Amino acid sequence: MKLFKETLSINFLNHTMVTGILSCICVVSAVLIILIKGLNLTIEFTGGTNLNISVSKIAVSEFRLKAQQALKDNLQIVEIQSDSKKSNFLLRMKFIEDEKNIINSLKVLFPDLELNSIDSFGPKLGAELQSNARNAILMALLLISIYIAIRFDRYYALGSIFALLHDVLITIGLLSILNIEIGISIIAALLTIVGYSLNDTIVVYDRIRENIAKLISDQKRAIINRSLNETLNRTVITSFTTLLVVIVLFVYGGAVLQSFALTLIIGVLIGTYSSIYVASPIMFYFEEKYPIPEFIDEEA
Amino acid sequence: MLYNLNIRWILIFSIIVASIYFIMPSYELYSIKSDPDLQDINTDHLSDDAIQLGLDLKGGLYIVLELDYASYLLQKANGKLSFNKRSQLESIVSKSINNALNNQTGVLYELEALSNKNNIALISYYSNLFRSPADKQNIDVVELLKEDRNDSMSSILEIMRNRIEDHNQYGMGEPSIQQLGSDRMVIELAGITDVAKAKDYVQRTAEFQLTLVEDLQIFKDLIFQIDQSQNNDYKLQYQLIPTANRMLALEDDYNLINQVLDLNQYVLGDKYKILWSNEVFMGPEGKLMRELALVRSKPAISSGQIQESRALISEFGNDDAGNWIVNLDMTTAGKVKWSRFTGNNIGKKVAIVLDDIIYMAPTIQAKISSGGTRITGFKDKQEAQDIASVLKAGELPAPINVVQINYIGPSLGQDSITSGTLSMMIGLLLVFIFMLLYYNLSGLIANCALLINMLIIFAVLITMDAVLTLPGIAGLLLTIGMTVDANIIIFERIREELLISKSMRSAVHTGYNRAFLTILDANITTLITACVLSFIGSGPIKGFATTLSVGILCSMFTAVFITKTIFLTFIDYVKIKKLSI
Repeated sequence: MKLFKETLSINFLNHTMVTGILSCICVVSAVLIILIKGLNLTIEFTGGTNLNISVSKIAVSEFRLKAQQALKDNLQIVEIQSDSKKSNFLLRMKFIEDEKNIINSLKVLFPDLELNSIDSFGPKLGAELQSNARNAILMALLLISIYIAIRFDRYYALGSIFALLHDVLITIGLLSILNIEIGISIIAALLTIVGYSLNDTIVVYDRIRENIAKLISDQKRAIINRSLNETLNRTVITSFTTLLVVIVLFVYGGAVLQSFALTLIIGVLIGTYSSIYVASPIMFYFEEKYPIPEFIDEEA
Repeated sequence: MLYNLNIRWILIFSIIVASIYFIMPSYELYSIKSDPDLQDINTDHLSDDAIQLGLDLKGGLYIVLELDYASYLLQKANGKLSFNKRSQLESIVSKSINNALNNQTGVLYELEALSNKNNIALISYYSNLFRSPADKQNIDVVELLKEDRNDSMSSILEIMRNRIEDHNQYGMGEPSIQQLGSDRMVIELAGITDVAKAKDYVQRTAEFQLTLVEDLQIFKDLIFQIDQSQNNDYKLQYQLIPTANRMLALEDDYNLINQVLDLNQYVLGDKYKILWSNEVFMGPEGKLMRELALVRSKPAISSGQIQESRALISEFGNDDAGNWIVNLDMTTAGKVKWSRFTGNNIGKKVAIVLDDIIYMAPTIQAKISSGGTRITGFKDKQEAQDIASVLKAGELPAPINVVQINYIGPSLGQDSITSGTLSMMIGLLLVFIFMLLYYNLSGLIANCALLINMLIIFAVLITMDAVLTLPGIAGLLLTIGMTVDANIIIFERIREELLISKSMRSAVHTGYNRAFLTILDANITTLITACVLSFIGSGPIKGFATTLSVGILCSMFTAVFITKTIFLTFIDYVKIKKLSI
């Protein structure tokens, strides 16, 4: 079986006018959405307490009414994954060291209450985890660009960093639109996307480098197009197998991993696109526009 | 590299055999556990060698405790500070804690910075820590506090270990207690069901005191003084209900009275404390009531003088026969002190205080020289045992606060195991089918490599003593999707090489050689992100980073080395005519 014929020759760099504008619009609107709508952070980052409980079947509005009356506290109630017998609720409140009182007063109302899980993060810890996560993403981007700058050169590094920022920003923008809470697991997913998207980009870069050595006489533009075509089979198939497993994770992985898997699905799709239409065109553009004198001497 | 096929096969087989050897205990353990007919088989010998499940899979309590700096720094200060001086220190400490929160630094660091900035001489509060306090700078004080903090943390850790190991009703399997940074610790208790009790138990300071209860008349006088000193309408004397020999209050007023007492602490000075009893009882008008008592701040006996404590059922003949009690035994010094104290105070009451709550206040009948003391008034066996255990383990040198709690109930953990295993199976199956369809027999070879990869990953995780978490399973699943990539890169390359009409053998060789560098480059970036992740993530996310990194590293071996060996064997020994790719 074969996806694309070997004679395939799509002129990818000719599309960059359209895709460039598309990418710019996406990134700019993602940034605007992030700035205006803000990010919905989990208690891991804001500090707070989540109680996951199940009681026998009850409508969420009825439960909310009863619970609010009993507890008086400010709390959000969300229904998650209920079946025919049981209702499953997530109660979210500001950080409390002792959830005993809340559980006890709820138990008076709902004697069959079952406590599934507690997640509680103090405000200090939240602030700490937030800065840790920020540092981790910056650290990953830095290390990766250093690695690419060493293994390839700075134009390639620039191209891959643009692609990564493109992927991460658009993914976060989409998460914000979809109202998905951003917690440590989402940060893990974002970092995985960074690794994955780069993986794609590097396969293309490797081919470009190989072809540059092989086809010295050809124009850079033709070489890039040729390399993109040659690696297209691989790019699409790998994305497909990866998508396959993350979709499985989304469908069968249970509630805990759902938003993690969704982030990966979004990221894999955008990462595949960016390795074709962002990383190489940006690299090409900067190399043409701002050539470094010594570098040209070296090549000549 | 290793051109001899025999050597390659020997290497591959020995790795597979070794992996199976490491996996066997886990396989046995979890197949016994999942079979309801085999529940009573003892699996202790297997669990040491088997892969450990994280708390998010087996259920349990993960709790992060932090030194309570606010109390700790005040507790370390000179006990003879004037009330004003003390509140000054209180505000300095709370500012430092706030700054530490905002600047993401340590509290002690901020304490030093703040005092230097505002020309506060810390030595004026902590002169008690030095033999010659005269010329000590802020930095000296903070250094000493740091040292003391570290000592306190290690003794808190030690006490926690004793407490938890002393009785295992709060968990199944090994509890784990670890220090985290300079002022935190993580306690993991697997399989617990009553979170609230377990939390109370670990967090208890266990400050134990035997102290004199002051005469009711002095208590009344002090209440009168408090009322006079504050100028609002709320008067304690109207809230408290004195009876012939004790002071009572409505349970409903508990918080309000505490507020008033906190505000007027200075009236009591450092000689007295007002404490509540642990017992709430039904009053005459059907209202819940609780007793208060005025006690001496300086105890007659404290935790240091307790030698042994045991929970047991009171024997027949005592008036509390059949109830749970705790028996205490004192050290020699404690016995001497206790005998002198009881001799001097016959007819008065002594309060038995644990963490500022009075458990009972019996009247001293006679001089006690044996040093044996019993505490009664417990609700049930567990409460008595808890208190006996915390007393035996000793008093925490400083109180601790909860900063993070994660509790997973047993059913949720089981659900996660089920859905994790299911998605692994389905993911593996789909990728298998796809590879077979797309690359025919070569796809089958890639699938073999993938299976062997899974085997090796598990073996490596077991030898690393890694803990399998739910995100860890997700990492494995992702590995399945991402590591076939190596084979896809190679196969695509071989197809290309075959097209330019190379011989089968040289196409395979070139395909692998060319692809290897690409695979290496591409995988290293994923490894970089996984490493960064393992530094920030806590428990479960670390599991994700670990399985992903291990998976990718192992795939370099399986997807490249093993598949190439199979290809070469088919070409050189089986002498196939055409590659099915």
